[in-house]
Amino acid sequence: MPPEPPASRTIRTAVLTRVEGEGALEVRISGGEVQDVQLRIYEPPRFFEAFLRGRRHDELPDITARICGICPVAYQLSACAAVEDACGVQVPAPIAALRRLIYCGEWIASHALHVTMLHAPDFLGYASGIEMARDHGAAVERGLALMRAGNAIMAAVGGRAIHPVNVRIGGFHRAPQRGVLVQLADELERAREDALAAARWTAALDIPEGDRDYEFVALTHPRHYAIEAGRLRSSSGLDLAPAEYEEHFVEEQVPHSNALHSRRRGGGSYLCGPLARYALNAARLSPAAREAAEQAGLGARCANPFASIVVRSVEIVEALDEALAIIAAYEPPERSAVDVVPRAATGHGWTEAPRGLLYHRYRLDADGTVVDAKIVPPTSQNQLRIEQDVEAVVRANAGLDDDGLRELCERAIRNHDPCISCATHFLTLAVDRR
Amino acid sequence: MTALVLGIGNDWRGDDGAGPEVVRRLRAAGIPAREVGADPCSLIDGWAGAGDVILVDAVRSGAAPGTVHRLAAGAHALPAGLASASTHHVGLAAAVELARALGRLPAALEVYGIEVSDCGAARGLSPAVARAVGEVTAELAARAYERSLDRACGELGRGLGEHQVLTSHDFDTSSWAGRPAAQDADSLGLPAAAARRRPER
Repeated sequence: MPPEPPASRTIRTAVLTRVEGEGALEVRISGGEVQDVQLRIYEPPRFFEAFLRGRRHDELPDITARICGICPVAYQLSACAAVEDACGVQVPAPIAALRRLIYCGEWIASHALHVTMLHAPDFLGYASGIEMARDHGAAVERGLALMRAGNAIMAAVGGRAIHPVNVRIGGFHRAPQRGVLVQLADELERAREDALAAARWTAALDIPEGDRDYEFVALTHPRHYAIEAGRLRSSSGLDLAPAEYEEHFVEEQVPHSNALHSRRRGGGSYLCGPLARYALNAARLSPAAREAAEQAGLGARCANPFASIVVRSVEIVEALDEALAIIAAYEPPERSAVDVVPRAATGHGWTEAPRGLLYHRYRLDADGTVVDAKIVPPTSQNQLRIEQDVEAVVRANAGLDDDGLRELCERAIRNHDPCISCATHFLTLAVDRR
Repeated sequence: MTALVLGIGNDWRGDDGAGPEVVRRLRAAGIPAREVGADPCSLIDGWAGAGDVILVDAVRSGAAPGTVHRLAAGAHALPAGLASASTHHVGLAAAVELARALGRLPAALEVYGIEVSDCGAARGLSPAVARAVGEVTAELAARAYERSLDRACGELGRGLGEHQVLTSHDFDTSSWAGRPAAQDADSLGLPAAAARRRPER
């Protein structure tokens, strides 16, 4: 029998791997009880909200896109939504559909990267996606093909795959020609077969048990699986417009992290992202995505964070179906953008980034100068809940040695695909057993 | 077959533009070269169908700015300490190792890493890196030229019999792609003497 671990110890991970950005984790255990869990986001603070002040309203999509190389479209479109809200503009349906299309590309590429290269090695016992690729080449090739498909959508609509240049407030600088999008359809059809295969592959992984008591928060839309627009709903019954967000959610400074912690005002943690979207919107999935979810045994909701890899795979199927439907119906709009005339007002906007809800608020001058900005990324919103997930796995597995515990803690974090770079305003694990 | 040169970098980030600058100078001389992203998809797609591949990227290892690191990546993993100076999510070394794990490396892969000085948000290369770009361009152009010369000699040699030794004076080289003749020396960043020396081999 292995020796009992000491009743008091500190488990540290100085640099978290397979997450976006730089962070650490420290867990202190004293007298056999978990005393403290700190997800330390030490990536330097980025001060985006401060240096947006004094910029023009029409610069916001391009500047905020630089917050993230994985989800630039999320930043662009949340910024557009907030500015257009301030200026009293609603974009026509064809422009909204094009926005949804480029956002599908980002979901596909971001999810395929996480499912294949960052998350799957946890279930198959590899330290990295590269090591996994030697034994699971076909699965990795499939993941790369899905990333290519997502990038191809972003390049076709946005001009290029990373930090697209074609998005502007009011719409797009240029609407893509129908032929350019139709040419994509064959690749997307093949990607759809890859996505269905990936969903079956993830469902067959050895997924630990572990349902949590989450308050799910996600956008919902009457006709679609919400991506680029919708009302915020929660599993506890919230139903909000963007302007009501800050009445119900608050960000707090914590000493151990360069990211702010969000919580329910007067309440606790909540969870955004794939599990929340699926729980609140499963009925809106495409028939093929719903069937993939059923075959994977997901049920009407899934509160097991380890199974998020399956939900992400289902969302890839959904995004491909949606992209194909938008392309089939596409006719270039007469005007690629509508005018957005600035006025002195405050605007609120949100969209579903691959990792969850992304909220922007801007106060503008009469000439469109930004007076005040607030950006709440999904990882800030999930950080408190991720720490609670880590605490739960430590409590349930306190008998493990430090290495075993450290691995489980890292998995509990990677389940939520945190984007530390986005949240910094983030991971390395330290377990302190006293 | 002449090796395909792939350059990685961002012209808007100072010395990170070294790879793209080498690509532009080689293309101007008719040598196969293009820019490529450092992510696994772009690299694997970029060298699909190519024989030998040479990657040119900006690197930061702590060596003096302008130092040129020449690494054969085909047989061994790239040193982990040679961090790509770019802001790509997956470093070049990781992308190359993923391609190796998938059996998607080209027949031969070399990396020319140019040690950077300043990758701030500005256009233009620092003097040391600009000199290194000239050095790498000249070396790759000379290699491309030698390979085309070897190939042409081999073809002619087969035609004329095994015992006859040919030199470049025995045939007209004026139509060869990549010929670093004296008039091209400026565009290649080659000293005129070096450009003239080659055809007299």
